[in-house]
Amino acid sequence: MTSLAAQWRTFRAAIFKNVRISLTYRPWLINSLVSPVVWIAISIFTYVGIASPAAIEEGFRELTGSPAFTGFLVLGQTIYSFFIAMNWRGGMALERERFYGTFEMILLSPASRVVMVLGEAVWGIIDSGWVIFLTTVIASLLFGLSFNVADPLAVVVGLALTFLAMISLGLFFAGFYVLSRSAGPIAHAVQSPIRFFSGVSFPISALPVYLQFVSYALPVTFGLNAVRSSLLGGGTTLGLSQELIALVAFTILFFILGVWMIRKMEQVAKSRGTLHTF
Amino acid sequence: METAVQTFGLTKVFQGYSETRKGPLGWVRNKVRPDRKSILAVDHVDISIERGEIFGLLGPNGAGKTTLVKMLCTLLVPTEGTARVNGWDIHEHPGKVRRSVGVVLGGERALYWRLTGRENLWYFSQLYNIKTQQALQKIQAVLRLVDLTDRADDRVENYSKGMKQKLHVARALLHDPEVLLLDEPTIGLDPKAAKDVRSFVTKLAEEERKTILLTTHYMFEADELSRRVAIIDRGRIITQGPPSELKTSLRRKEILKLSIRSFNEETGEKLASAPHVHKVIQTASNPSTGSVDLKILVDDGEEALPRIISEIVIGGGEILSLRSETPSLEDVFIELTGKTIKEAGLPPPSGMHRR
Repeated sequence: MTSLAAQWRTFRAAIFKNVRISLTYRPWLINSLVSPVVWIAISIFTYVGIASPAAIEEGFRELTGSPAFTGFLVLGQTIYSFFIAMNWRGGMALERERFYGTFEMILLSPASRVVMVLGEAVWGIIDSGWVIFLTTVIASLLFGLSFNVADPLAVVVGLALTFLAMISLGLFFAGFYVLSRSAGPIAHAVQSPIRFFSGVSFPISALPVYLQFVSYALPVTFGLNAVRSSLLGGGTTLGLSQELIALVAFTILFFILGVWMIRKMEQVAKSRGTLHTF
Repeated sequence: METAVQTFGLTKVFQGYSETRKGPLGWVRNKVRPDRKSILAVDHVDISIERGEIFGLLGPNGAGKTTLVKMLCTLLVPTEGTARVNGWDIHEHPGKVRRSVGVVLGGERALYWRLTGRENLWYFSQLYNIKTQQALQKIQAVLRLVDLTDRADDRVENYSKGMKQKLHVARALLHDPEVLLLDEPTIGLDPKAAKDVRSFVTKLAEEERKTILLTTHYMFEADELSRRVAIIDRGRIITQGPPSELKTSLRRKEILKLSIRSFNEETGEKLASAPHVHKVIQTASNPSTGSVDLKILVDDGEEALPRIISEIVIGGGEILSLRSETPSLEDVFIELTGKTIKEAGLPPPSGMHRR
């Protein structure tokens, strides 16, 4: 059993390594800032291009209970950006080690692989967090955004549980991607369906019922609902209990699956001798 | 003498996909993705390395050296057999085995090129749970040992191959392992860098009392560094012992090296079946001069030589040079496998007869 101090050292080292490496890739910052704002603009102009703002607000009120469609779209993109960050930071954490050629060296160390991935995922939240926050501020200034917060605790809990669910999802992806030996294509492939089914750019109630089943099998859907309701619709902690319970359940489920997947990945790779190969 | 590493019938078979895919889904996957044939990479290897010893594992590319090293450090699960490293069984106590070994795998990668040498070492020291103060001291010490102190704060991407290899060794030493597994530590290095690496490998065994398993396909390297050597070919250990003893085993034999112009296959066959000739190996061919280099292992040079010369002349060949040599580890390899170590790592060429 590895001690808590050892886990902490592994966690801290994973963050340290990523901070240092990230600083050498500064141009990524431009894409991180520009891309979400452009996506928000595309969504907003798609709506205002076909209907008047009043008609859109009325439509949103019917579908979501709130007329704030710009807020809906800005927060949709914000949470989705966190998912993307988690997909490529936590999810690709082990695959990136294969790319660096350090994967075998890491597996030679006694450090916990799960803690290592968690360190990468948490760094993903921290690193992408301030960029996403900045993007949200820019988008709010450009497109106008008004909040309706009735219960600040609901905002904090909603955001925190959304992050936790995504970190767990990242852990699961980390093992799965390495095991699949096709990490890049799969990481790309999951993005658009998540965007579609989670209701990033439109309310999922607009989808046919049979497709909504898929939506409710995704943690991003519940994260989006919780954050939008608490920030835009005046939702309370109690009122959001369904979403919050679902997020906790997803966190536990993906954490267990993630730990299992990472162990399985290591076992399979050590048996087949594919630790270092692509 | 205490044993630091011992293997017991260690075997690794990389299974073909079709053998692991079962049922209808497996059938579909076999159709979609071409099969990989099963490969017997390591075949019932039994070696024993004493504490503080440098043990050379010598063999051509693809002989199974890296697979053996990876099984010893638990990066690969053996198909059969087991090993004890620093007293720990690789199946039962993989974590303790990992703590006992420092591993250097060949190649330039396996480092974070965007980090400095010192940052790389700090990162790995933390994965090995070394306390900060202790880690900083240890990093300083290993940097000094491999002579990288001056470049420790440069990014690894600016290092030469030799410096990267030194950093690999420094990392392997961070957690003060009892056993070092060095897989082709000098591969791709220029002569100066390779010499540096060899000199601190010796230093590690002599001054730090490390047990070292060194794999190489350079005969002279194994000869120079190792107290004992095992020769591996196609996954099997074909002989082992101190280099001097292995060479002495060939003492009864002589090595004749000839360079011949207009040499043909028929003459080669006649030479191979001539009295006192044990083996005939073509070691090189020079298409520009139309000549080939041969190594002929004979029981008795004086008796064999007249017949050899007459066969070559009758066959229309012209002897450009001829000399007798003392057996080397390369000759031990030839004696046991019938080919040079370079050839053993390559697909067999056509033309020359070998037995």
